[in-house]
Order: sequence, then C-alpha cells, then structure tokens
Amino acid sequence: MDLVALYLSIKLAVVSTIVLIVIAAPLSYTLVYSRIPGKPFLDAIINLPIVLPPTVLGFYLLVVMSPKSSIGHIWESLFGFPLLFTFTGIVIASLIYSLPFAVAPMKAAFARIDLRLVENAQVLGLSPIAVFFRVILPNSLAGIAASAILVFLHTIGEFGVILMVGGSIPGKTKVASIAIYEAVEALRYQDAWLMSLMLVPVCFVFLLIVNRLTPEVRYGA
Amino acid sequence: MGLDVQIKKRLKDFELNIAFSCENGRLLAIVGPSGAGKTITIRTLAGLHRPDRGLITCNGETWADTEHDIHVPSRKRGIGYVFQDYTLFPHVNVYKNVAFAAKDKQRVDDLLRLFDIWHIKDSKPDKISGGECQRCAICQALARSPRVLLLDEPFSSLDALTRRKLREMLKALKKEIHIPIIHVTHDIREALFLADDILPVVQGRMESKWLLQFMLMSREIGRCPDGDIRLGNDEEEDIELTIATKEIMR
Repeated sequence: MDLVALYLSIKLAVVSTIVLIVIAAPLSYTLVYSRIPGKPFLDAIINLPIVLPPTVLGFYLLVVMSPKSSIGHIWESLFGFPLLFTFTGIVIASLIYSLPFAVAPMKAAFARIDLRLVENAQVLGLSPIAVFFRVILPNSLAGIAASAILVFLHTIGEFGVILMVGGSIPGKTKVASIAIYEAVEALRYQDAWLMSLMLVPVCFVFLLIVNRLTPEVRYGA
Repeated sequence: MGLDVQIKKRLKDFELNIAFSCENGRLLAIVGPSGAGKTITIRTLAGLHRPDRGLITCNGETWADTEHDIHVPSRKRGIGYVFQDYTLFPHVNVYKNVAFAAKDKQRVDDLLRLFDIWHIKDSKPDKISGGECQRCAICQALARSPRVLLLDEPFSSLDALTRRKLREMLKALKKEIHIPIIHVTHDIREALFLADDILPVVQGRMESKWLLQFMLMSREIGRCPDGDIRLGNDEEEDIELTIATKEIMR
C-alpha cells in the first residue's frame, strides 16, 4: 500500500481546504453584499470548473503553468522552480478546481443572514470589515463548515486535473486517487482495496473534526 | 439644536414628502397606518436609504444633502436604532450584545441594571423573552451614547403588560438623555403617552387631519380623555401637533 500517496492526498486536501476557506470567504461576501459591476461574470468564472470536464480544465492549466507560457515563466523566475509536476502546482490546480465548491455554500450562508443584523451593525458604527468578522462570519459557521467538507472531500477525490498538472511522481504529485488507479492498472487489487478502505476513515475523521469545531451545524434539520 | 429633516423619496405607490425638526431632549412620534412611509423615513434618517431630494442635519452637522451629493454612511452618524423586531446578534450573549459597539464598560453595566436585565446578561437572545430582548436592544442602542435615538415600532410585537412597562421605562429614560428621540408607531395612544410632538403621516405625507379624526374617534369610544390639540390655520404647515395629554394613559 502506498502510504506516501495517502499522506500526499491528505496534505493536499488540508492545504486546499484552509487556503480556499480564506479565499472564498471574502469572495462570497463580495458576491453577496457588494454592488460591484460584473458580478454575474465573476460568478460564472468561479463556477466554470463545475461544468468543464476535469481533463479539459487540467489541459488549460497545463498550458498556463508551462514554463513556456508567460505566467509559468514569471512564476519560475520569481520562485526558482516550475509549477508543473510539483506539489505547489497541484495545490494551485486544486484551488481553482474546488473554488466553486467553497464559494457556493458560503454564499448561501451569507445570503441567509438576516439583513437587519448587518444594518444594525452598520448603524452601531462597525466598518464593512468589522461587520464581516463580527457579524457575518460568526453567523455563517454552518456554511463555512459545509464549504470545508465539500472542498476536502472534493480534493481527496481529484484525479483528472491532478494527473494533467502533476503527473504521477511518487512523493511529489502521486496522490491516493492516482495510486489506486495505477494499482488497478497493474492488477494489484489488494493495494487498491487497502488504499480505498483507508480513505473512508480519513474522510470520516475529517467530518468529525469539522462537526466538533462547529457545534451548531445540524444536518437534516 | 437637534435634528432637522426634509426628505423626498419616490416609493412604489406614492412619494414620501416629510419635513420636521426635533430638538435635543424631545421625543417626536411619527404616527400613521401601516405602509404610510414611517419606517422608510426613519431608515433614511439612519442612512440605510438615500433620499431622492432632501437635507438632514443633526446639531449643525450635515448627514445628507442631495444638492451637494453628501451622504454620511450609517456607521458615522452616531445613531442608536431600535428595530421593529428583535435585531440582537444571536451568536453573543446579552452582555456582549449591549457592549457590541460601546466604548464605556461602566455604561454597559449601568444600562443593564437600569433596564433590569443584569440577571440575564450571560444568556443568548434565543433564551430570553420578547420584552427582555427589546430592553436589550434599547440598551444596545444607548450604550454607545448616540446623538439621536431612533425607535421603529419597538413595542409592537410585545404583549400589553410588557408594552406598558417598557413605555414607562422609555418615558423615564427620556428625561435622562438629552438627545432627539424619533419614535415610529402606528399606535396613537403610545404616541400620546410618550411624545412631546406628534407627526402624523399618511401615504408619505404629513396629515394632521388624520390625527384629528383619530383623536375624535378615540374620544367617542371613550379611550382618550380630553386633550389639548393645537392645530394651525395652515394645515400643510401644521406638522407638529403639540398635544398636552400627559394624563391620557393613567
């Protein structure tokens, strides 16, 4: 059984979840509460990974992250290493791929907040940033937890995008889903079984942790 | 010194056209039937809506002036606003709600004791009664020492006994704080009990005739004893009906 691949999957999912929660919270707030022009356009861009086949998205990212492209070139000259076939590369790919799954529940949670609470906070003298941190976020913990769960599980299950951008380099980009695929391809069914079974308690423990952190989340209510 | 308001705003069914003044230490009640434009008026004062045309000043400071494109945001107006229903922050307890924007901790403690909610200071809003919620909301609005207190039908969803108790509290409070208080209500008796001045509003316009009719009707059915209603000759200008009816609710 490829424990390194399992470790990489968990690491990728944890990093993606933390980074995406931080990115998605202000983005969702902007989409719900701001009056900026072009909101439908921004919304459509964010949701594009849902409708694009993972291999198509992976192909675009492969092209964009290539050292021959301007973005890939700028990255390499700034940080000294390429994006393709690195862990950083698959993290960025994963962030883009899972962004809509982080934004959608948060947007729904922010939109559900009683607008009068926001107005009350404004009247009480709070700045928009203070309103976000002191009113919106504490009253959206269920939505944030839902975002975290979706992103984590979605990242654990990623295959096409990761394979396109990261390939299958052991210890660097070969995550559990790719290792399972390769084990099946090589007729190592026992390894595939073990890896698949290991993912179940990992996801279960993650759900327990999120539930523990957000006690007010009620499922099925 | 106090609050001076002239606002015009096109609404769905009519145009809101209101002008009034309220001096520091006085309570002005805006009364009228549902949908008359009372809440829009008070929300415009709070900066939650912009008037189409108008001027709002408080103690000489301009809050809104459409001619010069001035609109001071809500958070900079220094207002205490009590919303119609309980708009307490559900994730914090009563104490933290009252102290939400307060700078002076001692004032928070004093208000909690004054409004008799000290004993529930550690409770979350969903664990206390409607009357306690509304007392907490009033404390929250007062805790930051506002320059104007706006009350949007604060007692409408309470039972008669609690409503009466809170009216008494508000009346006592009025003497303590020297700021303009604008009280929106559809309950004329509440306005008569609390207000120094009454502004009747119907369909977005100031209608003293409506108040007079209501008073006469109330008197006929025996709810309202004699009141000294001073009406000016020019009905349009007679926007502040000073009603000396201090004994009405006793």
